[in-house]
Amino acid sequence: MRATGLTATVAGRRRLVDGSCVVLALIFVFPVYWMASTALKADRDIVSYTPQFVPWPIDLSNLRQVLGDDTFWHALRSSLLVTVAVVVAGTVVALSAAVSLARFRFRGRAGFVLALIIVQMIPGEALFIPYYLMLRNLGLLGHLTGLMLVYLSFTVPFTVWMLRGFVAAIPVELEEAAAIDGASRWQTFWRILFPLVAPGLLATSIFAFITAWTEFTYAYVLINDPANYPLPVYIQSFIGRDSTAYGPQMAVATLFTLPVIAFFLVVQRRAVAGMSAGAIKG
Amino acid sequence: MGTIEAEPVIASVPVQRAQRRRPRERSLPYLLLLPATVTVFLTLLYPVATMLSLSFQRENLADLVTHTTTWVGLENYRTVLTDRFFWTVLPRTLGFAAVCVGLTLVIGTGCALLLQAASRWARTLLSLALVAAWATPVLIGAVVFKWLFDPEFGVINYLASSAGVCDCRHHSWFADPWSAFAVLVALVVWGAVPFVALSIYAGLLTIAPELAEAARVDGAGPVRIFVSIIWPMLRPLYAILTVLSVIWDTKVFPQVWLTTKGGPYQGTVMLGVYIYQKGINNSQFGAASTIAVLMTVMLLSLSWLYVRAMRDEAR
Repeated sequence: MRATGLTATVAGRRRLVDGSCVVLALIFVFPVYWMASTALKADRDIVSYTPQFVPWPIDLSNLRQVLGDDTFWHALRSSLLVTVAVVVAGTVVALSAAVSLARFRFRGRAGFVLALIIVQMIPGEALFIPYYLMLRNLGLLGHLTGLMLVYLSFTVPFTVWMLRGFVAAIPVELEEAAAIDGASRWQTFWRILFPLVAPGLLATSIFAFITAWTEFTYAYVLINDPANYPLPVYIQSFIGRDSTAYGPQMAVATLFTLPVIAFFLVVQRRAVAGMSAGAIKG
Repeated sequence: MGTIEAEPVIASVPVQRAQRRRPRERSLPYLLLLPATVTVFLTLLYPVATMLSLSFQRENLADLVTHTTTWVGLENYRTVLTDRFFWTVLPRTLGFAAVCVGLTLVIGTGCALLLQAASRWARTLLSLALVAAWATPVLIGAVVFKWLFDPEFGVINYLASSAGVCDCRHHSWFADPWSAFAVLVALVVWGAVPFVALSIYAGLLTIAPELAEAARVDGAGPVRIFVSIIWPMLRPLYAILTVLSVIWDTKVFPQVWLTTKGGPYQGTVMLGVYIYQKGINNSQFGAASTIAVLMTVMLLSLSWLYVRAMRDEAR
């Protein structure tokens, strides 16, 4: 009797736990779902006192409206320009610094590493006034170049830090072996180190992509010319003084978030694999 | 490809050759560091220096246009520190961060414990939902929450009224500072819980299950197991998560700006928004920089705690 009673409480507890998981999952996913479902509704179902919970039949009018809007394409172009520039330039700059820190011993190395840590602690949110004035004096206010520089300075310290770890993890003997076989420094780097550090480059590129693609504060403060609005500022521009155009706004927001979630899953899967590796050990 | 041929070959370098290469060899690491140094110094340390010097200047639009620099010593600091509104905004910012961090850690711990205890399918479901919320950019979270809490057509008012929680059709959450704060807290906590929950869950997995099992056999309940086993083992992790969360929840410009813009009646203005209003809207660049310096000092001291916590965990 006692045994079955115990099994029943265990099963009951398990059901309670699973039920709570489902409720929490619904709460956490709901805002994302509501964004995507609003994007797939007709305006009369968005502006309605009884919300339509399932967007069926799917209505593409808001997506079509956004995709037919030149401002959207300009904003996409601005966002892509800034993001690609930050990812590419940031990778080159950070990889060379990471190789230097991981593969050479030289005076000032420890000092540089320390500076790297301190620099990462400077809160970007407090710095938009000096950036605003600097770029204004340079005549770069409203230009994407200024934004690229700002995002580079936000991403490079962390990227150097991360890549340094990746480079240091590759056995230096591989490069030595290549050197003995007659490879030049450049060949050793390009043929040995670079392919091995590629997963690290993928991770840091995704980090830089997400930072540059989704940053709002600086884009909003520094880009005052609507022709140069990147996507975050364009998304903000749907908020009017009295009302917000939620249909098109959610349509852009959905298109904007899709690549972020996709890239996130790429990195996340590796992180989860790491977690489960730790689990086996326990 | 020309570069490859031009490079001298290192293969089996005789000692003398190696010595001849020395000067170049010695400058190579510095050359490699140069781009990163330039990027970081020009675009990070220079603005910091500008911010510091601005905080000792009178700098308004007229000064900016005429390129005049008027040093005013500590006057900006005196003005800011005697400004009644600053003393409203500062505790408000810290209080807001404290509430958000507290809720985030409690809910995050709850989620982590549930993830550990749940069946496989429920665990997968909850972690996917958490990752979706985590991946959503802050600015998107903010505009979506504004839509969820829309007074007329927002789904929250509809659900709450249908469930009989309140008669809140046409209720504007953003008309009253306290309910506006409630929405902001919900927004920040929703965005912050996933990282905390998944980190604590990963931490839980490092604790050998035998420990909790042994305690259970000895008659310990779930609370006792948490207090006596999980908490002591995960304390360094909690220290790191707390400091990081305080830093993140103090910097909430996009969340506030995209929902309340600091309103109603300046009731939800926090440090970031205050700097924006003073600096960008009113062109009081000196005073705005002073507030920014104070905020930087505050957050840097917190970061210092973070580094210490990291070091303790590494030990």
